Amino acid sequence: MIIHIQNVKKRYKKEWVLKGINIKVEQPNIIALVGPNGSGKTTLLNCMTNLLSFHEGTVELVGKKHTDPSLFKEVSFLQDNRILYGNLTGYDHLKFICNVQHLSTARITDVAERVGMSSYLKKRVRNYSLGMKQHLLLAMAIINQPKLLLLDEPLNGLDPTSAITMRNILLELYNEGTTILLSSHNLDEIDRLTNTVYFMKDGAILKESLLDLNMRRYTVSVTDGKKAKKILEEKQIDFTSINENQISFDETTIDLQTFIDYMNQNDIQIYDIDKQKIGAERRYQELFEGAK
Amino acid sequence: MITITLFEMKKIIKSIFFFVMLAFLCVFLIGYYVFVHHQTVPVEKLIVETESMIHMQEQQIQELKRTINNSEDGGNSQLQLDLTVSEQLLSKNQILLKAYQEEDWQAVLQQEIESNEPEVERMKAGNEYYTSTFPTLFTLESRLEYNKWLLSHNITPVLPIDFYSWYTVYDLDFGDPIAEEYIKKQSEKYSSTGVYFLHHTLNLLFTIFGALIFLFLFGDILTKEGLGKNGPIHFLHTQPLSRLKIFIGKLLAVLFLSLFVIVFISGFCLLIGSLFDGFGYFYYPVLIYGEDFSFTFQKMSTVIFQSGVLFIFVLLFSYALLFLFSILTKRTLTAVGLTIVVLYIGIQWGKDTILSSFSPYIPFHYFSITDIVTNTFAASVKNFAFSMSTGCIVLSISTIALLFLSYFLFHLQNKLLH
Repeated sequence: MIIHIQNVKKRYKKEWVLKGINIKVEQPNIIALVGPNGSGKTTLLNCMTNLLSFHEGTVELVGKKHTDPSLFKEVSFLQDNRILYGNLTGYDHLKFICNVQHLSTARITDVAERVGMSSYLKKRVRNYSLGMKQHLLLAMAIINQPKLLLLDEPLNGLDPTSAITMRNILLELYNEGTTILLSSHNLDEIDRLTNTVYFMKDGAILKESLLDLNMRRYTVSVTDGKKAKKILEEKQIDFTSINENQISFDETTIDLQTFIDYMNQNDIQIYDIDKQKIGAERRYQELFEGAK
Repeated sequence: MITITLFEMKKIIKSIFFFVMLAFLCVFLIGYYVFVHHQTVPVEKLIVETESMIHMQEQQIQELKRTINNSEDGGNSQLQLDLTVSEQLLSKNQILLKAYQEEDWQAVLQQEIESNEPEVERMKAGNEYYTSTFPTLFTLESRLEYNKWLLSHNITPVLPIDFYSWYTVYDLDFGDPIAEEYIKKQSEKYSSTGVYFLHHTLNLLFTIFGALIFLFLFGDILTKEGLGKNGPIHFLHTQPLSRLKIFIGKLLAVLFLSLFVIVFISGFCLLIGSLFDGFGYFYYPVLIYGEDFSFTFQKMSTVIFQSGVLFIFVLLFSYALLFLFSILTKRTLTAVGLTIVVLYIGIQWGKDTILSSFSPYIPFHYFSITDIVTNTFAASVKNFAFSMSTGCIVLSISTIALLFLSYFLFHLQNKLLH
């Protein structure tokens, strides 16, 4: 099991900020944690890596208990850039990781090239821009070729070129067998990276969010909307009425061919079908902003 | 462990603050050297003083001779005796002057020993140890042995070396305050040779003030990690390193860097002293008090080394306090401030309880490092339980207890804070 989180609960004073989180990941995947500020994404990542304690539940990463520091040979966590030491160079940071994890220092040059920071590798971090720091954080996170990579807002401060580089690197790592769990506000980037998104709200993962975002949503225009809606209600199919003659439904509730068959059987003409990928942004709007 | 320690050291060494502090230290040492050099009594000064004394004595002898010649009875016996004594003193001073001019220190020391020895023998015969009037038998005896040590090791003495330039803790009554001030000033011997300047500097450094310098130098070792918030400590915590290793790594880093700074200061002192006034001697004798008015002499190099060892224990104790307050307050200035306040209160409390039976087990006493190593402290309070070995044990136990508590809090920090 790459990630096995069972019923993790945490509270600050009397307020529960994680309310029984359960996540299981058995195969390499890219998983995104999405939610508004204060929903518990960073707290969850910090609890997973033992930076914060929690009151109930268990966390196992790559088969090891989360309190076992040796798991960080296989797990990396890309955090906020405040973890960097301004007096040291990027090279110093990477060399320390290599020394602690008994890795060859030859990896430093490779990883610096991969993330595009060779030119400023030996400059002090206090002279880095936000984007340069983000590059270094990524290099630090991937230098040990982890089995599991956790990233907290990895796209913060990146210009479009760097964001593309970051995305490509993450996809390469995924293809090499790394499981990636990232929290992000950048829903477009998430759509480009993964279809597995856990939406978090008030310290809980919303159950209704656990669906494939590759799934299609259809909006169909019919000649007799009233009759069509009645048929769907009778067959207990979940749908949304857009207007008098327009109906919207997800392909998980009914596949398009069955819908067409029902309409044909009842002499209802279909004159337009609009097909859309749901996507993270759309789903986010539905879950947090009430859009349908 | 080596990796984390080296990394912690690198973080400190690469900081501008560390270099600025080292630069300040160098400037201070240069300034202090100028002061020591200025305070060092040159042989030329003794020559002038002796010449002046000889001149006065010659006049006094002429005067005495005239008085004797003019008197009808050819001078009474008291005048004759005065004349003889004056002529003897003059002769001694002429020999001394010649020795000073030729820098014949063997002759100077020989004369000091010869003039001192009979008095010591007389007082020893009378077992006159239990007195407190200057010069006590202990003072005379130790001064005699001091001079013998210098003679046997062929060491150029640090000037002045006269009768009034040596007192000990047993001299409590000096007759009048002016005499006391003069003797104490004369006994504060300065030498700007390399080894002696190092001794002066380390005497200054191996005190509470030295500990404070190091506390300022490494005061942010924990707090700069952003304890209790998203700081660099999270980087360390997400590496395959136990919290114990991180904690010990930090302690070792400050310990090794403290050693580095002490070695740097020592090297700088030796260099600057040697450049301007010669290297000096590692064999300079240092008086070590013993029980029941006994004493020995120790090589200055040995005393410096032992003082250094005790200072390291003192520093570790101070760092343990700093670690505790850093973890509790998470703010550099507050942690350093609280450490200083606790040390100050501890030292004051130690003074108030100096005569109690548990006093030697109070770690704060051992900040008087040189006095502990030379047993001056023990002799002053008449309690030889105060010793370097007791100090090392007491400081070690206190340090371990404080570090254990600090680590416990460091380990449980996230649980306590969140």
